[in-house]
Amino acid sequence: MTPELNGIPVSRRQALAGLGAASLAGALAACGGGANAGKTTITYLSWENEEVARPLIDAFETANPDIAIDFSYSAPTAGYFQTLQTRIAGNQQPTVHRINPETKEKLIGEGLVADLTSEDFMGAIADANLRAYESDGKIYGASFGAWAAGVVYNRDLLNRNGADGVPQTWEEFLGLCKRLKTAGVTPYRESVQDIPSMFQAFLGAGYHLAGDELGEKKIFTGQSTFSREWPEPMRQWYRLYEEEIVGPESVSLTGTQLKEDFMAGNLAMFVTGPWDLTDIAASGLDWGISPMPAAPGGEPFATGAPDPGFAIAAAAQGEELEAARRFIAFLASGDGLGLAHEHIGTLVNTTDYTIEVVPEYQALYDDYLKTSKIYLPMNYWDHASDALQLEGIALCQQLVQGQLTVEQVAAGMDTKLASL
Amino acid sequence: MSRLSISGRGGGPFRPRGRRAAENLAGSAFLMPIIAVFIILFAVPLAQTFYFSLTNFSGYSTDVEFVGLKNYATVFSDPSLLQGLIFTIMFALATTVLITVVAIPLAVVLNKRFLGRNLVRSLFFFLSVPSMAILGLVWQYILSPLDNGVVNSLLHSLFGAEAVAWLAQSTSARVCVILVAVWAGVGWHATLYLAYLQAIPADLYEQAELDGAGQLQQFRHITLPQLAPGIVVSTFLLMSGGLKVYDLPFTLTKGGPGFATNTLTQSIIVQGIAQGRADVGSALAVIFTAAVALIVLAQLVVSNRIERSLS
Repeated sequence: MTPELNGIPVSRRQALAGLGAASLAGALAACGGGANAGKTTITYLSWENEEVARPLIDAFETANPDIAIDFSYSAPTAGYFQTLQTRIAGNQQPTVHRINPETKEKLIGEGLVADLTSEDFMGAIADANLRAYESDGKIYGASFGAWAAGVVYNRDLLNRNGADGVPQTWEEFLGLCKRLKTAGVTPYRESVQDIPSMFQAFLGAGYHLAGDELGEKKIFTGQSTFSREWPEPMRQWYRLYEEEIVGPESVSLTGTQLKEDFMAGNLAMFVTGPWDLTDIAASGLDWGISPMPAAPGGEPFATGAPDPGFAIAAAAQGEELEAARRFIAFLASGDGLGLAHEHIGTLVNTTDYTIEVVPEYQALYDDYLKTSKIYLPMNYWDHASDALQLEGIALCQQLVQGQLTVEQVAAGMDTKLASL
Repeated sequence: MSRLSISGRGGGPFRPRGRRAAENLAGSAFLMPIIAVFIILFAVPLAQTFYFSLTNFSGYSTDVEFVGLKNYATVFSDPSLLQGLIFTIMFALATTVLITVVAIPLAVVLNKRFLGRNLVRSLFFFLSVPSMAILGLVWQYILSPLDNGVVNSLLHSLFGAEAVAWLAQSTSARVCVILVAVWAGVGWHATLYLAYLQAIPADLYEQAELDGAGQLQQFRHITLPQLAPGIVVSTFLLMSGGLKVYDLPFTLTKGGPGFATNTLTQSIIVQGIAQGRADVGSALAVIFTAAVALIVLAQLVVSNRIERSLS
């Protein structure tokens, strides 16, 4: 007869492994369980290290003395999901953990995470954040923050060349780049170690103007293809190379190299997000950050995405489930969001809480991040997004090297998707 | 001479059969922990990997279905994986040959007496101390395509050369990855050869000098044959390490441009973990293990033949 655990059939091997784990857990609890005796304990696999996450945990435990959080940490992104995967495979899924666009298909598809749609704490979450963790009308991740990347610029270099900021349109942007180049200034650089941000923003702007909330999700439902969606915005972005504003060195440039080149005053503009702004502000440069310029027929837009959501293990029941709900509700409260912004740097994206950011970033935060005028293709890829992202990067690199055309890049994505 | 000291067939001292059996048993007992560790840490995971390679295991759930050889078909039809296989073999062969060719003469030089010899030996050996991942990150800066990259600034100040994007073209990126690995590995292997060189009896060289042999002849007829066992050890380590390479190309180029410097181990990790395709990752791991075993076995056979021909 097959043994059962909470109504779920388990193999003899799994039962033995569970028994062993339970014995070990019992022994460990007996050794050091004094402080948490009588409390409901939930396990939490944190995305942030203990130094920055601890103030939130402490505040929650103080406000909820009947609940203890068993904290563990793994560094994002690949390492985190490797740890999560290993723990799930070993029947040790944390009660609360993160879910992101690359893993949501597996976590939801395998029935490993709980449906959070009707939880009270979901009420104030922004549209983009809700959409990111939605599947078949249900939402499986509570995401309270987001990021938006734009064009960071050196105000002095632009002013000296007749511009007071990043132009609003693509034609004007290319024109400014050419003027800067003629004046001996490196106008713009980008890294092609990811799918280029400018192209991603062009895609998002197009969908936003068309009122198309599906975005590239259409490709995964068979309503469209990469060959139909990608070429036009990609052709616009590729003008940077055709018009020799940027060279093929982009393939090997890293984000850190770009930031350092900018802070040294050698570079007029590059694309980055909140993660670099503290360093840039400390460099003493006169700088600003703008949304991406509008490609023909589009509008200024930002590359960006909701933060990874908080998910609750589907196996959590009873007091453990209730404690997990209370933990996420705390994270969604004013106290939780304030602490997350203060210690983790979360750019809060809920309708009931506002934060102050560095003055240069405020407009991008208010007008783009908070209004969900942000786009990241991977958030709309229903499955195999990691494999497709790697393929996309490799194809874009080959395009920059002159080995492929824009149409071949899009066709290559369709071919890859068909093989997955 | 007592009867017990008479040599047996194997050349060793004669021992009664019972005592020999007891010694064999004692020897086996000493091996048991090692065999147990080998089975637990290698044989069992390898068998599990083979099993998962025949299923649709995602890495998230052990509730799996048997899919036959489907994952193997996926591996052999994916161009990025094939590129990874090509670069891995290219890397292993190139680093093995180049490090061997540079390390032997370097060891010969370091074996001679000169002022500061110990310091120079330490400097070369030091290159192998930091992890390859750290070296990859450091060299990423050295080879930065910007004007202020170390190599580009040097070339500009010496020759007025324009900045070169070393890691942005497939061929130059592959060459850079291989050369950085050679730079990092040559000191350690020179140290290995140095140990073998110091075991060569000095009277061989004295006799050769008396016979009028020049430096090159001494190297060809004494040094190289005496180093043959060292060459086998060094090339074995280089070939097996080269086939397993992951950290250096990953930190230096992330496998790009395109998939030009992708490696098999990188594919296994990416497929199996990041992409949640533990089934395909397992198939790759099985193919990889078999390929490494075959190549290293072939290399050992070739090395032994070379060793015999030199000695």
